[in-house]
Amino acid sequence: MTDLRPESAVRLPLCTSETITLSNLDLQLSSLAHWYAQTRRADAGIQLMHGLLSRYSVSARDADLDDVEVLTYALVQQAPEDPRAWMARAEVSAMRHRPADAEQALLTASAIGAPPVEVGEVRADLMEAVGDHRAALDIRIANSGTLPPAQRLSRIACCQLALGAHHQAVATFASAIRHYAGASPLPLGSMLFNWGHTWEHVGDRGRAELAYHAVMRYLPSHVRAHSALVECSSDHGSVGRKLSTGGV
Amino acid sequence: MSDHLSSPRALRDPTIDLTDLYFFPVPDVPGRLAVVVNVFPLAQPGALFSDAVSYRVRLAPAETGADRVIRARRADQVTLDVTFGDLDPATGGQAGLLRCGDTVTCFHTGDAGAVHSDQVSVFAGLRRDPFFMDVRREVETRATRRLAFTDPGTDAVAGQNVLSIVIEFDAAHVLGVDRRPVWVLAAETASRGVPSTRFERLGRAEVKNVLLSVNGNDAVNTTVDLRDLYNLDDAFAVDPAAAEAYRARLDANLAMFDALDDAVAWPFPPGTHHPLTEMWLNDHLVLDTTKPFSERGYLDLERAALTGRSPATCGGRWLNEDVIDVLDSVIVRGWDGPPIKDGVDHATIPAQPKFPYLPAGNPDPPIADPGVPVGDD
Repeated sequence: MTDLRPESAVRLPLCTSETITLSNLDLQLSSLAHWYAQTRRADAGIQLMHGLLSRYSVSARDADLDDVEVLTYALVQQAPEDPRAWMARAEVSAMRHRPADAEQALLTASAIGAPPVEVGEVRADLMEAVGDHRAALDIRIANSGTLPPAQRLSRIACCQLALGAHHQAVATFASAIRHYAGASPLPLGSMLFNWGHTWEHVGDRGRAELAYHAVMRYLPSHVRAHSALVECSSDHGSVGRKLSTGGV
Repeated sequence: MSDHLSSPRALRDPTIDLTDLYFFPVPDVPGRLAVVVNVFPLAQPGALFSDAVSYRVRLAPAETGADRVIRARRADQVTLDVTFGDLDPATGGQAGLLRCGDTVTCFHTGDAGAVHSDQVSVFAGLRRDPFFMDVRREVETRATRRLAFTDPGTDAVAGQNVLSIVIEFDAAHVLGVDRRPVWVLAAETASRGVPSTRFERLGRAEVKNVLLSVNGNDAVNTTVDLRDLYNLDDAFAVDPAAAEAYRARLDANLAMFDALDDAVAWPFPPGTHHPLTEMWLNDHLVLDTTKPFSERGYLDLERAALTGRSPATCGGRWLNEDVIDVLDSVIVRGWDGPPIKDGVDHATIPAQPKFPYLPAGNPDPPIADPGVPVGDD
């Protein structure tokens, strides 16, 4: 169980331990992989893809992402009429910074009936990936989407931060933390990592370091947070400030 | 199905997903009661409880209002709180604590870690899911607006596992000697610590997945999934503003079910509520703690209160009772109409009348269509 509350200006929630979370996730992935292998059903493959992405968010193994990408290519071949398969392809292509492929997959998904809110969500990811934070912010604000409020707010906060609206971004991010209503550390870890990454992007390595420390408290084996911390520390020195959402 | 996979939030994290709740007198042991709370649908061997969640059982004396609906006397509630530690790598299990007032009972997951005492016994761990239902036919029934059940049906839960928490207790010790006979019970998963966020709550089977489901006939909220809003509410004190949304959905869905057999069992004039809406809205199990065990008692006390008859049983919910047949029969044909059967009448391996009641977990559960998003980043 991760408890960051005593150190936080805005209380960070208690979350399930990394050990329990990853153990349960691995069991589910094993079951899903078995199910997909036996049935080759697109819905099984899509769920497997999302689970693998969750695993990748901690492990950051390139091989895991390669597997996910192979899976999404297989899905669009297997079920070319299924918009969810094309959405999955778009999501992974955006993650891999392949904007042309992602855009094409989004167009196909839209043409065969993908819900506009879901298309908007991935398109905003894509805009962020290519550095168009203004377009991403506009989409995220206009699109209530399918994300839970906390994740949606944290993505808006990252866009605001990237656009230089620091005070607004901090307030939005604090609101995101207050809205987090779950026990899993995986979404929170991703929120905090992206927050740190954005601080780093705008040149405040101190605040980035605080965010990465918060990620590590929830998910000690979060590879990208660990690597980012090593880089930050070598450039900036250790941050002695207390963790707080404002600081984070 | 029952309360499995019953909200967007629960879909993302099985450790908070309540699946079923049971409340019954211990067979052949007067004065002793049992509660079973199940979580984690489709659990695989090795599945673990969260160490950041409070698995909570809330009991309260019942009172019957002027509208003959049984409600909880919230001010007099008793809480049983179960929490778990992190995975112990040496044992592969988890330490657990059961808190009841000032009394704390320590246990471990698994059969060997169960604790037995005259006052309180507790077990937690992987067990066969005792719920049974033909889910596909129920969904088809709502989609086609006709009874689609077959005989036999197909049990969607056959061979699957859940994580179970089983608590047996001496009623006088926990609820008091001079207590009211009838008590209500609800369960919830909530974040540990203060303030606590409620993730899920559960009283009766299928309130969220069936009775509050989106079927396109609720003119007030045509497409809104109310289930996570419902989960946020205190089971014993529902937010009055939100309650209006639930009433609208319940009225619309109950009218739809009543129309499935072309005979009107529950007439209600425009501008009024369905006669069962308030009962479902007070979403808890109801048990007469002074009566002996009965294999069939589901909704019996609620029916007695609403109709003015004497209850025939202790009420509550026993593990092997076919609550889906009871639910369908009542909402389609009324309290006394010919029963509806979904063609699935029992679990593959029924529960036994002895602690911890549920069969051991299936080491090799069948592959099921989980319909569940896994992970969430």
